[in-house]
Order: sequence, then structure tokens, then C-alpha cells
Amino acid sequence: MTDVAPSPFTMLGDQAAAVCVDDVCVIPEHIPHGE
Amino acid sequence: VSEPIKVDIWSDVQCPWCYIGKRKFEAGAEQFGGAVEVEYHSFELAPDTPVDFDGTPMDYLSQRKGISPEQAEQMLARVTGIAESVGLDYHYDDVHQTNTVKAHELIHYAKAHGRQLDMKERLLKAYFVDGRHVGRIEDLADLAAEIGLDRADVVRALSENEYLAAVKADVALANEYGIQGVPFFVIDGKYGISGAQDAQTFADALAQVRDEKAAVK
Repeated sequence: MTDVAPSPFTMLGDQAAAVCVDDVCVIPEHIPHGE
Repeated sequence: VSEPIKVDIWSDVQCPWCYIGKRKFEAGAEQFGGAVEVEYHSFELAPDTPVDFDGTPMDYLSQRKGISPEQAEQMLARVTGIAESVGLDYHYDDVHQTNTVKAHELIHYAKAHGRQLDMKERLLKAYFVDGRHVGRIEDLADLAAEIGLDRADVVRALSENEYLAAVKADVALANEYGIQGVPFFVIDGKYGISGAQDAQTFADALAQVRDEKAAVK
């Protein structure tokens, strides 16, 4: 999470959405199981 | 007929949110209804993983990331449930954790032969649904042949690392753009959408770009 270039893009949507970072996939708490 | 809207997607083959996000993006694009041109870009989540990692993703998470087996099992169960909600039948017990650099080379090979989207879909399904190996050249060549690519030429290209530089260029570009996680969608070169977001988010972004283009004409 260090030395990351700023995004040149205008970000849209939910910034806390589900992503995989460094081979660990982050599951936001607000996504209910099986929804 | 208006020009298609370009969407660049950074993604890894063994990223569960990338396949889920692919389905959500596809639903959003369908909802949008206009022409969209998709190009996939390589992102390596775990470039140090051995091709023949001996274990499942649960083993990987617990052995290499210090996550307890119980917590890893819970994480994978949640992802599997969410995958199911978009019509994907993940089988984590059958998944072969591996290094995906060759799979990315194959996606670039397929792009050069006009089949990138089919190859990307086949590789994701192979990994998450079918329990196929996506790290070894021979296995990848089988998958390529299944979508009609020349198996022998795929073996040659992957053995010669023909598309390795293209993979590394994608990874470098992601770094330059500050992309930390995948999936990451770039709409028309200016809007970023991070993660497996709702179909509506993609539909709205595409509609926004269409409207902006129409306004400047």
C-alpha cells in the first residue's frame, strides 16, 4: 500500500467494492453472503 | 452508428472477484445497450507462486498468508456464495493454485489472433469451475485448442515466452496508473471503476460516457 502512484482516472462507484490485492481477496462486509 | 466505448480491464485469472466482476460488467454493458469494446490486461496477484504449488487456495491462504484454515474456509465460502448469485459455480475444492504468467501470455496470444475474450472466459471457467490447471503450458494449450486456437503454435509461443513482454508491460502500466487491486475497469480512458461492483454502476458509467460524447458533437 506504499509508493502507489495516484490514479489518473476519475473514480466512479463504490470505492470499497470487492477486490483482490496482493493475492488476498478482500470481501467487504457490506456484501451479504449469496446476495 | 456510434463508436464503441473502450473498456480496459485489468484482471488476473485466479482472482475470484475478477470473474464475478466480469459477469457484473457484462450485465451492466447489456443494460447499457450500446456498443462496447473490451480489452483485457494482465495483472499478477501472486507472481512468486510456483506453477506446481502443492495445495488448494485454502492451503495457500493459510500457509503463505498466515490466515487460519477456518478463516480461509469462511472467506472462500462467502466468495462461492456471491459467485453463485451471478451464475458462477465455483468449486474451490478442485482449484489448482498456480502461477498465472503463462495464462496471461496465452490471453495476449489469443488477442493477437482475435480471440481474447473467448480465451479469458475459458481460462476463468477452467480455474474456478472446471478444476483445470492454468499454469502449465500443455494444459493451457489444451484450453486454447478448445476455443479453436492452434494447439501446437500455442505450445511454441508459450515455450518461447513470445508474449511475456506484453504481460509485463500491462503489469507496469497498472503500476503506473496506481492500480493496486483487481478487477479494475477503465472506461473510455478516463473513468476508473475498482472491484466487482454492481451492474448498475457499469451501466451508469457507460451511459455517462455516451452522453458526454454526444454533448461535444
